[in-house]
Amino acid sequence: MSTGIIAARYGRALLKLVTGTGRGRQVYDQVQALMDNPQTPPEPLEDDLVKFIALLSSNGRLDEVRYIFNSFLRQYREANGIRKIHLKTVVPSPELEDRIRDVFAGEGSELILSTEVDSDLIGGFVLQVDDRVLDASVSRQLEIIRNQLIEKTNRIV
Amino acid sequence: MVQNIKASEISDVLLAQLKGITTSVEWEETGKVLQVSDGVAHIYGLMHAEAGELIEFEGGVMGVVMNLEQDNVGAVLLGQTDLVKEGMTVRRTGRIASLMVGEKMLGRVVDPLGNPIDGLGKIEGELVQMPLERKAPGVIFRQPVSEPLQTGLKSIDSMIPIGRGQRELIIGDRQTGKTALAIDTIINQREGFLKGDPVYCIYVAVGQKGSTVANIVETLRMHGAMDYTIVVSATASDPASLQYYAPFAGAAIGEYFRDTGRHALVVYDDLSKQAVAYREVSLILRRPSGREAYPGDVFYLHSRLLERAAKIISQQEVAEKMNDLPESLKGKVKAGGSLTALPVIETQAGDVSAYIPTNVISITDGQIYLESSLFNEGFRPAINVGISVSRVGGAAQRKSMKKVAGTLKIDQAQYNELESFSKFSSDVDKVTAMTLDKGRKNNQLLIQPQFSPMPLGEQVAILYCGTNGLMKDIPIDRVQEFQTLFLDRMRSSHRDILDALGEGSLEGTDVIEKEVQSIIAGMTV
Repeated sequence: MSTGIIAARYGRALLKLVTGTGRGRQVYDQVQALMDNPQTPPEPLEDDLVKFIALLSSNGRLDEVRYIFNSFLRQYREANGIRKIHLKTVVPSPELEDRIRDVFAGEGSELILSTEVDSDLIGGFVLQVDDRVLDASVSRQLEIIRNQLIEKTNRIV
Repeated sequence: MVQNIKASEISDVLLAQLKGITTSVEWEETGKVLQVSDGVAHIYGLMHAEAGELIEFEGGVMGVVMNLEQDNVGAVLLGQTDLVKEGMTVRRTGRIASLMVGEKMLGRVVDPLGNPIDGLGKIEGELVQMPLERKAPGVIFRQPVSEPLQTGLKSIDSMIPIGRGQRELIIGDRQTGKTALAIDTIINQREGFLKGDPVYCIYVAVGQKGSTVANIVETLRMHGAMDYTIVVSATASDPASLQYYAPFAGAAIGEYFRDTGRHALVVYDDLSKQAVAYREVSLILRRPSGREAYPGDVFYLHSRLLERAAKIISQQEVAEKMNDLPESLKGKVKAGGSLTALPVIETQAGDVSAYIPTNVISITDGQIYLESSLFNEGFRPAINVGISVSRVGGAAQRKSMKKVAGTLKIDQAQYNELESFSKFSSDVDKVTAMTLDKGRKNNQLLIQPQFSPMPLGEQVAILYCGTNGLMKDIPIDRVQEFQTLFLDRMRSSHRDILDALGEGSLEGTDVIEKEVQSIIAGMTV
């Protein structure tokens, strides 16, 4: 019930700690690495992060660690004007990446751009900015058409 | 191959359908699954999701948002839990959980999302989207209960009458005939259906065995009741979330008929299992638990469900402005419809003071209490008339029945009291002996086998014999035989009188008395 409140509070505490020590970016990267790949933690862990995990452990909040780290990542990005962008395409497309960089350059925010090649998309691209997704892939459009046909004709297509 | 082409596949029709299709790309809000357990997923993100909103997981599994927390949401899954994995992307749909309802749904068995599960293919015809959760009609859109809903059971129609738009609880231990009573009521609506005054029935099975549901559907079909009945089924093997939503689906289907000016009856069988399913969901969502580990809003769960049963006002211009009307129903509203609810509650060892039974008793407009001791004595339907009540149904009872059975309840109460006293002594005075004799015979009259609902006219005629002491010369073990003879005679030679009694007039009682005399004379020879 109070998972959200706990996560937000601990996330804010960690954010304040790293802002004070000035190791924010390193901690952010390590937390991100931990979330992406929990089985191989980065070596050596930042001091701030070690302290934070010890605090979680002594307060018995390790169960909520995923929620807390997610909350920290979001708060850190918001505080530092960072936008996390993930681009999925069928073939690598540096031109599209450049265009996306241009579009967001005007906002004056830092971009963390990651790309992925996924042939299941058939064509087009999927652009994720923070937690919003622009799915302009051919596979998604086919799915939309299929759903609309089912709705209209009342028959499984 | 020509025979495979359907009328709906003419080029112009196809073209019109294709024209309406849009493929415009839009920004969508997504989240990531952090945790999945027992039909509940915790999702990070979805910051703008609304309570009760449908969300879609990768792979097509749907869920409903239940908990809105600071930067995460808790959602119940409406499909298999094992198809959802940690890290999956979840998409908002912007729709509230709903199901498609239409006329062609009659005779079908569907799940709580409206998908047919009887193997008869898609539900055809025009369908209307009805939200599962919807506010009950407000005070000005309602009207007091005024028309009777005949159950076909003598003891209910005479002493615990139910009106259209009422909520009457059926409560009792396991194996006391709760479902049988509800099924009999549904079967009895066939007469009205054939006469052109249908009461559409919705039977909602919550947490029952698949075989039990199949049996019930078969029984209904055998008695021709599936023509006007829809069965909503969430069996014991379905996720708790579906069992929790099943009664809401039943209410949504009922509302479709209610708001289009027709009469509907919905049976929730049973709400104790729904409460258990809701408790499961709530505990997994880590909501604080209260008495008997039920969440604090389990009363609200049942009260908001049962409030949706209503008799809608008969003024068309008022009914059209009904509150919380779904977009799809606008322009289709007709005044004067009703939705009657028969919720079922199973008690443990006759304990009506447990949490859920007391809650539902206080919400409903009366209860029919079934007792296992009566059931075992062979007194079926095993209704304990003494503590069963109908708080509003009296106003809806037909005049003839009201007059004939008006004193029946008090008479039977007096008889029961005397009966327990007379056990101590064998010699009783004449008046007491007569009361006892009449009471015993009336009790015999109230016994009614399963699946044999009786038309109102016949009920009034036979109860007239009972309450006026016309059977005093018949031995107690021949009361049933007398009933059969009497009703046969009435049906064959005085159908007009039976019809008149059913319509509410009390003419022709002298004929009844004459017929009774001649039958008794024939029986004693």
